[in-house]
Amino acid sequence: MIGLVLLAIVLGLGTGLYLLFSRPRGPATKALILVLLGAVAWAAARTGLELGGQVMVFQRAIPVQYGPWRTVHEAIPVSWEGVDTLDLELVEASVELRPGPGAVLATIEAPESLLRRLEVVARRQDGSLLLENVPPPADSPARYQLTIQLPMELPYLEVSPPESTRKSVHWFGMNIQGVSVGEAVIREAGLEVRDAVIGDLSLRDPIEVRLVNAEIGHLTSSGGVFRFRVLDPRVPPEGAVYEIEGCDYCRYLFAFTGPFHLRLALGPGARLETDLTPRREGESHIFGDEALPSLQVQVGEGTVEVLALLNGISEP
Amino acid sequence: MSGFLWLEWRRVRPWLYVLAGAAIMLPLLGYLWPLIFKPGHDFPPPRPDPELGLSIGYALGIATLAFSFLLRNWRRGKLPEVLFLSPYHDLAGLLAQFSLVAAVWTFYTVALTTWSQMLARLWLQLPYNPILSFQSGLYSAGLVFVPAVAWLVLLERFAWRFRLYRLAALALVFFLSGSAFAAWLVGERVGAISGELLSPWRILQGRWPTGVRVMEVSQEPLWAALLLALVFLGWAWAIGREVEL
Repeated sequence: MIGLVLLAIVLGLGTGLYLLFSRPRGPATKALILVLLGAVAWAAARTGLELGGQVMVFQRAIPVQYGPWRTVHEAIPVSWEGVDTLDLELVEASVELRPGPGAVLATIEAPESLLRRLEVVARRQDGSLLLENVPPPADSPARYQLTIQLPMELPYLEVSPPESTRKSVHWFGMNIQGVSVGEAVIREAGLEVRDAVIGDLSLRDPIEVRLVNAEIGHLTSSGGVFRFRVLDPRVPPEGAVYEIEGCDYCRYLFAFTGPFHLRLALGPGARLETDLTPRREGESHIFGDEALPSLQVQVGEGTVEVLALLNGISEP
Repeated sequence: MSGFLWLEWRRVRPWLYVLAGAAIMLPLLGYLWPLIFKPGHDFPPPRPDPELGLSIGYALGIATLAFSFLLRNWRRGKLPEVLFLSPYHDLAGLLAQFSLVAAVWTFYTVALTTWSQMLARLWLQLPYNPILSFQSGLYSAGLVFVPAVAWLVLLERFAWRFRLYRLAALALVFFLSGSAFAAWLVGERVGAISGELLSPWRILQGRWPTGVRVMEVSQEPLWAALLLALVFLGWAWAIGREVEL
């Protein structure tokens, strides 16, 4: 590569100087030749400096970081018959829920011999399916990803980390994609809902929440959400309701494309910025589609309420 | 002006067909590629990748643009009457050449971006997504491709300036060498312009499989790039007037 750069510099300088003193010499042509010669000379000086720096300084190579996700080695199908409730216990894992005829549990194995394999155990109990996984060592850097196929309609879903690893350094994630869930409770996990419908979503101490093209009838969130994103939601006609409370120093990002009703109950340290009203010190950023009707912001005692106005009437 | 536009349209028309086909087919091919060539033995199954088509589309478009300029001059050498019809010092000819090629390029970029992002998102949320995708295509076209077309027009006029002295090849080598380094310099300077004077615009950025991002971009680099394109055109016109016909 450096050889090509040097060749281009030599060619540029040589041909440029030759053209500069050749017969065609109009002011515009001459000016362009000088500008291009300047660019080549600047590149020559810069390349020279960089080459000099490389010769003099020996830099330590940065160790390569391998990807966080482990390889899936085995998939075990589990029948869904007679099951209308799903309880998941997560340990250092990201679970993806997709529509399908039955649960497919992935047994995942880390390539490093020191790491234990992640095993998922399925148990049936009173019309519900319990999925638990055996935790890896506490200091394990490995993360695992498994996909579970849900029935198209699932009445109840509960996701939580096991008691043994609660308050530990483990990381939990949940992706829900293309399914319909009546009621979902997510505890202490990162959540992404994409192209899905959830009637009632309850988040308890979630880590990070992304709602992409998700229709949420009613959303309640409490605890330490530090990032909350709603992107292009499929908002029901009556407008989605979001309630978030008890969060200090949170960052929220909302982008709505339909009528909505957002109610934020903020902690004493929370900051809110919005461009719906004139910017003030310490305001947060809430924006909607420019095609939306005008928005109304009501600032109460520790709460902020944002309503989309349809035909001059606030929703809902 | 209309005569020059007609002449340019005749030259650009074949490339327009190629680019229109590429803008439709490449994102679709990139989207379908993993589904066709990696049928589901993997677990989890492979996901479609519209970014592949977008990348190939940009590369093909740039190659087509450069090739169309080369072919245009090759045909000019074979057809003296075309040279007679389009004197190079004429402002109307220059503007017709630039505006048609820039319009084709803008159309191509916007179509490629909008179609790719529609595929990437797998659903259509009218009119929100297409408008944002259209804006992002228009922004990238204005920021990169319109100045690039103006620079190519300048390249053509500069090489033509030395043609009578049999120095056109030398001028071409010098200009391309200088262009590479000027692009380096200009790209850094334009990229470093801060967007504090004007309010930012919101455009859409498609990423697969992580989804989409509505991002804010500064207006100032775009206006600087368009101003630069204007400077290149003025310069090309001035050089064209120095050509001894």
